Amino acid sequence: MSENNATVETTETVEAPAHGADGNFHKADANGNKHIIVDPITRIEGHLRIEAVIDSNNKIVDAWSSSTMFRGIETIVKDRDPRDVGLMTMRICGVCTGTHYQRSIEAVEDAFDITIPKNARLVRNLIQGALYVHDHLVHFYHLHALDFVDVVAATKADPAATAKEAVKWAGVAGHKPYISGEADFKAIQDRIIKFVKEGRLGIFGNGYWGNPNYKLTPEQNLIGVAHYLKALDVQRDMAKMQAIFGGKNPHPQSIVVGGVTCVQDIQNPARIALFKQLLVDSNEFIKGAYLPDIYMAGTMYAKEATDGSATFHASKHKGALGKEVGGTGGGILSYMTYGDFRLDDTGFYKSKLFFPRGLVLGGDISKVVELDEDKITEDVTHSWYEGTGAPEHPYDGTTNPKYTGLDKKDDGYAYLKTEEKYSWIKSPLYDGQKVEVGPLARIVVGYVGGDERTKKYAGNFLKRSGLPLTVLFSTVGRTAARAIETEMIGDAMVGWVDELAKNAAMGDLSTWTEFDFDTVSKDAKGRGMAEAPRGALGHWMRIADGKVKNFQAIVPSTWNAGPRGPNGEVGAYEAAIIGTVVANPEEPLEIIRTVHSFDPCIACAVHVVDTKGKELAVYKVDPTCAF
Amino acid sequence: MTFNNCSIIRYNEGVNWPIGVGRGCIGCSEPDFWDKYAYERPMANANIKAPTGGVEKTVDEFGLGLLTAAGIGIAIHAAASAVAGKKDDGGEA
Repeated sequence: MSENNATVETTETVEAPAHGADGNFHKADANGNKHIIVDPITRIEGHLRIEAVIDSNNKIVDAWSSSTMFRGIETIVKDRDPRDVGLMTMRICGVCTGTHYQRSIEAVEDAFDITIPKNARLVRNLIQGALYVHDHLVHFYHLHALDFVDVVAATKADPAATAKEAVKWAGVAGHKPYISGEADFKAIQDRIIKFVKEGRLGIFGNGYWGNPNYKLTPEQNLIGVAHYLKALDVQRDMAKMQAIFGGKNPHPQSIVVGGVTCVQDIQNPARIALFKQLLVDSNEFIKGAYLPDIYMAGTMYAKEATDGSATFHASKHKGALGKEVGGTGGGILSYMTYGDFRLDDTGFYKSKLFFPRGLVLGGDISKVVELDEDKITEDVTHSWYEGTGAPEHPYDGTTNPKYTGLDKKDDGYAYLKTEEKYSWIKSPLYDGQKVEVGPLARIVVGYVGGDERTKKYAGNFLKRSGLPLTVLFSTVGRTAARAIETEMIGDAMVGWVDELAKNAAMGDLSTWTEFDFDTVSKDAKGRGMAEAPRGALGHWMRIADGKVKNFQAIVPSTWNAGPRGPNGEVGAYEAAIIGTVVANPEEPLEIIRTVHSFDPCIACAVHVVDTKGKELAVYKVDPTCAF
Repeated sequence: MTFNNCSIIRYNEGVNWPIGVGRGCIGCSEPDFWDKYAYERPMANANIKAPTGGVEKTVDEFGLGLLTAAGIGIAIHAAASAVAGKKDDGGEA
């Protein structure tokens, strides 16, 4: 929420000295192109900077994504007991909480050739499932909705009309609205009006309110704000679901190499009943508020979502397709998923999966390409690391920091050295190509591959909204895909918790597979490759004499936020921003909307600077409010 | 050996806590806990120097302040849970 606490300062306009001799076009542009820097991007986890060049028609013609923080967990876990690594790698982040934990433990289980019992598989599915619904809901309402919903415009809404509008969109989704009373909307509106009159918007302070690229009606904006506030309560209950089997949220603690430890919670019908009640309640909100809001936003933003001229592929970069596909924010149109949520007990990488594994490359929706794990590499050409010269497979990957800094200050502001190294994120590649990961990748791969469940849920969305399949290949589509899979997982978890209760009632209380650590840890390697809410997450580990010899993680936002590849391959965020038309370069609403649609997990001033080095505005942010 | 109130207020509005799920305490509020407590091995083998000597002694032997004794009790209980969890699949609080 830090962005919302920003104060805008107008700064003196100073003419920059002439540039141009060094070939970095963004530093001096005779065409009047503006170079803008958004740093940090707020309402995300972590530290992300975007630089973009905007032409005289306000179209983004180039973009760079940079992470401004070094992580280094890989170095910390070296020479430790592999059984302890999960607890440490879990601290990579407190958002995908428990996912890194499980991935590291799965890497060790893979190395030791351990298959976990049925109860452990189900408990892990429920812990991760609870995370997905919690994470997606918090992302949509508290980190992303204000890119679509104009809070101040909600003050002009008619509460009676708002109640009717809520019934309408819930109807489109096939449900009754979660909040439907005129009086409820009136009460929420009165709160906002009071804030606005007093000039104290609090967490809603300093958004780009009134920007012409906010497309909802006042009534629709009021629905959005009402759900934003209600979602704060709902997410708390979703977090409890994870804590029931995980011990706490964030950072659950019940998963160990070989299985899980929460036997007492599996055995106790009261615990199962509590989990189920929380799940049923959260599903009500997903179906009666979250999905209706996605139908509403999808319809109102359909023009942007299907504008083929505003894409990476229509830009000077030209994508693999060389033609206009999808709409604003579509990006590279290559998708990858490792697959996740095992549905049977045949073992890792053998089980049927809830999210099937595979790739859809270059917008070719005629087939799914089978994933070959050996083709995954990381390149550091544009990252602040010392590389070995060639892209490295994560089993043999290195993490040796080599910070080369930003360019010299140009009228008080330093730009990224985009021709050299410019990010703490490495550049992962699949078969030499950049790919996008996340909910959209999972839905596209599942849909193209003919997965029945994905086809049903995504098909329902397209049918009910009346939007074409191509709408998915956009900022709006990425946000819709996240909602579609939230419903999928919420529904599936009801079955999983019943299965767990039934299995325990039948007397199977096995939660752990025994192994002889000293024997299996002599010389082994394993990988934990599955999905996190934001996309494909892999941990690769080599173990020797009971200690971790090498550890590498490639996290979802590495795939999406990574810088250029060795041959100038454009990253997923970068490509998604290119082609976008901004309404007002001093308000980077469209950039933030598209970057947020990926749910970045990588947070505090936003600088907007033009190519002549003229600082248009500086936004100072209270770091204590950083998300 | 931890001085937190998580055993009383627990997490997520009291829904559960790490000991409750049978994992055992990793001493997350203590200095250097990664190296001292966050271990997948019996606490007796851990390199822990309690203010009063060591965890291999029983709680009774300490008798040096209720707070410390209570902390040790929890840690030993946690270790016992972790060990039990390995042997009979029955991690328990």
